[in-house]
Amino acid sequence: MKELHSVVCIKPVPDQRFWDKISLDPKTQTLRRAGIPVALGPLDLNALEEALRIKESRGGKVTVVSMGPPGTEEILEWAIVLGADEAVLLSDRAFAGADTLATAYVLASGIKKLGDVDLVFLGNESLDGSTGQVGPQVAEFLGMSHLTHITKIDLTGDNKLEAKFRIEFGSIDVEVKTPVVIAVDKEINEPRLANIWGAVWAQERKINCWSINDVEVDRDKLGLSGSPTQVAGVTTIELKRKGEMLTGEPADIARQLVKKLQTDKVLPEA
Amino acid sequence: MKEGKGVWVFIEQRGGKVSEVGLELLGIGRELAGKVNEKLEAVLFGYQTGSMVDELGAYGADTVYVADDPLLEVYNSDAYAVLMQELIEQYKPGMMIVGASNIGSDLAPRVAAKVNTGLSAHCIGFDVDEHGKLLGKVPGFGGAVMADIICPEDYPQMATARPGFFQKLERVEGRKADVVKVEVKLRQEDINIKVLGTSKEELTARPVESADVVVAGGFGIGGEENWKLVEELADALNGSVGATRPPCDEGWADLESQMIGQSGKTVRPSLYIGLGVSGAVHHLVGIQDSKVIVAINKDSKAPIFEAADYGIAADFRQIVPSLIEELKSITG
Amino acid sequence: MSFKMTHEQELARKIALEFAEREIIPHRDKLRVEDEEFEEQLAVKEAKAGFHLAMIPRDEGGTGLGQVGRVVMEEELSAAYPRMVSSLHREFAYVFAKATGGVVKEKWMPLILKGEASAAPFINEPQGGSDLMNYTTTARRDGDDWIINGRKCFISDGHKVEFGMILLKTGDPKDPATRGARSMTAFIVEEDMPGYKVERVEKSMAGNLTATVSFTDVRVPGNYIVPPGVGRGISPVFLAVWDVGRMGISAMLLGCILGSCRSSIQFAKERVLYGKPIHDLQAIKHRIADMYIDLAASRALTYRAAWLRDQGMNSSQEQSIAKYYCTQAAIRASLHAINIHGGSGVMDEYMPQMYYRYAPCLIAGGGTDEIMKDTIAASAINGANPVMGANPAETSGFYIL
Repeated sequence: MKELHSVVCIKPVPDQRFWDKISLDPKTQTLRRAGIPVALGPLDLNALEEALRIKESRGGKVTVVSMGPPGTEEILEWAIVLGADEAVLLSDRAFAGADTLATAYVLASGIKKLGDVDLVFLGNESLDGSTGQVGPQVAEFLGMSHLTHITKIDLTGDNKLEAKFRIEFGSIDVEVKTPVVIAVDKEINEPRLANIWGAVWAQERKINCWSINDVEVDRDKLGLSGSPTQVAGVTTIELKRKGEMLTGEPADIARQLVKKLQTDKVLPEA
Repeated sequence: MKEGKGVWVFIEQRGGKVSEVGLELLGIGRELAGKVNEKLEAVLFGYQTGSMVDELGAYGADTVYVADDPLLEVYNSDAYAVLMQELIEQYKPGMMIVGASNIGSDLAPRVAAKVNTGLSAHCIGFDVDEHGKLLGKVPGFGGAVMADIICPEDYPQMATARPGFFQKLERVEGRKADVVKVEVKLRQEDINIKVLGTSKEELTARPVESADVVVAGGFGIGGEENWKLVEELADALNGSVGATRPPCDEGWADLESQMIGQSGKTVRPSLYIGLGVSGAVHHLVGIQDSKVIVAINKDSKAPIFEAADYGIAADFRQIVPSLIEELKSITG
Repeated sequence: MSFKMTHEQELARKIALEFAEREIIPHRDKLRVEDEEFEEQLAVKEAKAGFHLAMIPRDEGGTGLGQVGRVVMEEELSAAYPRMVSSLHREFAYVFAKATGGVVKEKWMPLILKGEASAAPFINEPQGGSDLMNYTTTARRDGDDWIINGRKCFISDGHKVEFGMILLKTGDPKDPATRGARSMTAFIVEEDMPGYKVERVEKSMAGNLTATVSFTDVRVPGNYIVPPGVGRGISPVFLAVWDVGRMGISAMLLGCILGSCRSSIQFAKERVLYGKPIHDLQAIKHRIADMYIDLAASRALTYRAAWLRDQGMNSSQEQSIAKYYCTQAAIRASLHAINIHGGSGVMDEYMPQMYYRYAPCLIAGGGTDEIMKDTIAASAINGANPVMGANPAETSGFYIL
């Protein structure tokens, strides 16, 4: 059987454990993320897991690719700790400010440079953006087919696989020829825990940093200026309510609450 | 493309039936078409589409572009994307809205990349600016703000719309749309993806988004064992169980059907009770339309207390049993 | 001199922390009620994660992370939930297999690398551990084999190990040639040998288990004798076991201190008194400072002892100092944690009581406070380098590793 080269696209997101530390800058309407550690998104871990399982069952290798500012190496390194063979960070000022189309364009340029690729994996949505657009768009730039919301993959031949596409209250089973871009769902697998060998691999395996000079790209399609969508404006959502605190012993609190909810007519009277 | 005319909506169909989100798109599409004074045009791909085409007319479409072929019976991203690209390049629409269902989210970004235009994803509202450009409203930056996304240069201006956010129009029996039949030259041999079959799941629990009482658990629940308390309280209130993201990641709750927030469900109950929910903005945006919000969290500084009508700074494990007991007195 | 962890060691900590956060901390309720099935599964996961491979060199199939890497990992695991960390027994398995070589190594090494073998030292007898001359477990020669009879006790998790190394008497008290120190020999024994019997399992106040194992006419082949051989007594392997044991135990104690600090700080931020979180109270602040000082000092001592080992130097004295200090510090820190937590601190579902119960359970392993002090005093008074110097490696048990 043919060995397979899988690429996994990953995206740095603020570590969920520190989400309560993220605040909104009222002046610039942007998030204050300084000092918040980055982590691999949960679905990125599922994507990586699927690629690692394929490597273990079929042989081949796994390369992780990410676009991001310097500092993103940390999550690429963690992908190596988990078992990826190689990592590529696409990092350049020119890439900054990209929307999904411009992001997909840069990721695709990196994947093209890697050469022979059989499978490209992504998490179906990212934790912060949650739009899930990058997969299909990377596929378009690579001239591959794409599948999203995938909950199961069976390799059925050297260049063929079957997959389950989850849709609302059901699924569509498809067969596809490789190379193909696959965005996976959480249910597809249970991501592994790091193994102590990861600490060794991280010393031995390489993270390549590629700038605009290392990939073949059309400058007009990059970053902010290459992004067809823009943010036209932002409005703050007012979420504050009266915030009346109830205190006392549990039974006492329960009585107070039920009474108030009855007054508000959201609970029936006795 | 640098120009375009007409408001297009993509009509998703499954098993020969028009999906609910497709009809919702006709609703918002009609509003947008009115604002720019253009036609509302529906695009339908499927097989044996006759009755569906009539339905689209009845729900407000001026025109229906219909591609009818066995290859299109079940969604196939290869076939649908190629066909949609051909159609867009031939008819040059000004706007194109696709439902943010799994199928729509699969199709729209690919089409946008094919015709090299922008896509505002997962919009919960739309408007048109003074130049007739589409503004897609996306809860952004973690959910605390609403961002207006615009695609100033390229056509069609594309967006996906979250299911359940838009009203469909009144059905007018006998209202007819102009029908444009699209020829399908594409054959299975030309594409990579082949549909092998479909399956359907039965809906069991009452969906959280339509429940009148929602009890949601957050990471503060602490474990699968404690999660039972969330379910017990929901039962006592005859309500549904929701969750923030971490419990879904931990496997205590179901990501697909129970996660509430920016990237999950939006709930509009008369009563929402959050247990161990800290109140991150991306969750709060999903509950803001609740009539009354109650928060129980042992961290007295949890941000949810500011967004709640009633707050209880205590361990939910002590409060919930008392509350269930108290509720028995009113439900009998 | 460098006090910086290598990147590899930092990653090792991160890997252990991730393991703790996913596999241990969310399941503390199961550990609290000593859910055996869960504990077994956890041990298997721990073995698969390969923490025990840290001290095995690369060319023998390990990761070669060394003692420092090992210590930081066990510290994190123990902070998540202190218990007899099962890595220690997989590490002992390696020490025994390596020291014995031959058929023993061939048989066990592949299993050790896969995390499927653990072993314990069988040293203590009912009347004590350090008084070797009065051991009653004996072996007599029978052709090429030896026949073992006797009983060993206080073997941590001794009912779960696949094999062990037993220290016993082979000499004849009447024969001057095999008397005294020359009467002691170490053998490898395996749990499926006829006559090997786990007699009873006892539970400590912290829930960890120790076994008593009896040997009735247990037949052991001659090539199961641990070098240097019959009557060569306290062989280097025992010094190696002592080193591995003391550093492992110090790491567990570090975990108790670290865990006490973490839970106290979290609690001090959450608990409000007089309208303010209690960390604003000076009495609480000072307790937290005391705990941190103990954490810093214990880490400095333990990491240094481990680092010296990794440089191939004897750090026996440093290890004794570290183990003694960590024991005291862990008891102090966990008591501070109980004080900070107030009533909650002694409740089952809060961690401080666990650290407080567990730390004393580590007093005996590797030698009590008094044994530690004896060895520290001995090297202070008689040692070649009395001023905290490291002795050359040849005096160390580690030359076999």
